[in-house]
Amino acid sequence: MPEGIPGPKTPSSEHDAHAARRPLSEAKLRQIMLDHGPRLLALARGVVRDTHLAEDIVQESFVKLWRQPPEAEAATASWLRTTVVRASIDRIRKRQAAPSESLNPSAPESPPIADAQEQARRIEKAMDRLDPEKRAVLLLRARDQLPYEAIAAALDIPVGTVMSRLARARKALLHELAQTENDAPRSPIPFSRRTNP
Amino acid sequence: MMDCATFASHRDAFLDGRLTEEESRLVERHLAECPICQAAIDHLLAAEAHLRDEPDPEWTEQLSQSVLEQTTAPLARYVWSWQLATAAGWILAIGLGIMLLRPTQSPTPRAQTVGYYQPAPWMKSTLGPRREIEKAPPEVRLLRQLQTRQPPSPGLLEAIASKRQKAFGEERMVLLKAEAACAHLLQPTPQDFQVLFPELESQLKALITPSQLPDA
Repeated sequence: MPEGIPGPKTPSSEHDAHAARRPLSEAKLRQIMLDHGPRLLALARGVVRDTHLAEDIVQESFVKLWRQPPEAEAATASWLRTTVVRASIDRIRKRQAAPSESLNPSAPESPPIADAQEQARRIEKAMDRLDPEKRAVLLLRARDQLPYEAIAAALDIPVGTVMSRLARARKALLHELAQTENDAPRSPIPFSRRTNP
Repeated sequence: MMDCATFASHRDAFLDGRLTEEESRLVERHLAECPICQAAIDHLLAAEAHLRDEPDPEWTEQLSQSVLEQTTAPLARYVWSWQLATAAGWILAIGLGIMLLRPTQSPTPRAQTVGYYQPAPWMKSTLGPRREIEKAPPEVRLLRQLQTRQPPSPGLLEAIASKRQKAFGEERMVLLKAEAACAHLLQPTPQDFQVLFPELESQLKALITPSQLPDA
């Protein structure tokens, strides 16, 4: 699903600039929140690893959208995604601390669980340990299935940087998965410590 | 035949579907033969599938209401409007302009500016004459010496010389004459002081502000 690069910053003409400043109606904003809210919440939560913080970020993004919506209505989705992912990275960088809340409802002290759940827990734990930038690029690629160009636009980085960051993120994820395997009592599939012998 | 290092450099392209048919065939052949690289790919695919398939969290009505309170509430419409901000800026600018350009009111009597501490007349006697003399300008001190025909101190001579170097015209001539008079007082000659320097005293007094004169 190829998607255009969002252009939320500069309106192309005076007419567009005027249109861009026109606030959204309550009904329109409500519809946009219902359409995009869950996806954006998942993206923000995936980057910041904190449900309440993710809700704050997405709400603030909707307020920003109301205040200055993009000139083209079709760009609303990419505008929101860009705003949310950048705000998420900024907030987690500013916070510079471990997330206050575990996302996984099954905490380590929970009773033994099935293999699939154990694997999901380990993946979440590995994601917790990654940098927010790596989490963001992995989520945009794996979860949102975005092409490199759209990821580059969302993160405001060149396409080449997207590719290299994605490679580093996957390598780091493999490393963290191997670490979580060492922590766990047993593993459904053997995690290797090294990918290249 | 592809080795593990070559596979690692092709791993992301393989996952993102950027390989040619030939490259894909080589990668798949390597994966079939290398359990370590196969495990790495399995883990990455499993992780990405987990991220992709995880259900979206619920966007509740409460969250929507919270956003709407910040945006569509009557006050918020005005708080965030640029027009209000511009109007506030104009009001502030006009107010400041009126304040700055307003004609000043009649001046209230202010306390007299005092440059430096001057003792009250009744205190002068307790300070002692020497202390007053030491604080006086060099011309005043020199005038005292000339009036009493007492030889000046080296410090006073130095102060007079320093002042003369910075002086011009008539003041410089008077100070030069004063230095000559000092030399006369230090090593008196048979000639009378008043005969040698008849107008020096009055010339020195002309350099001194009236309030600083010794007899003021």
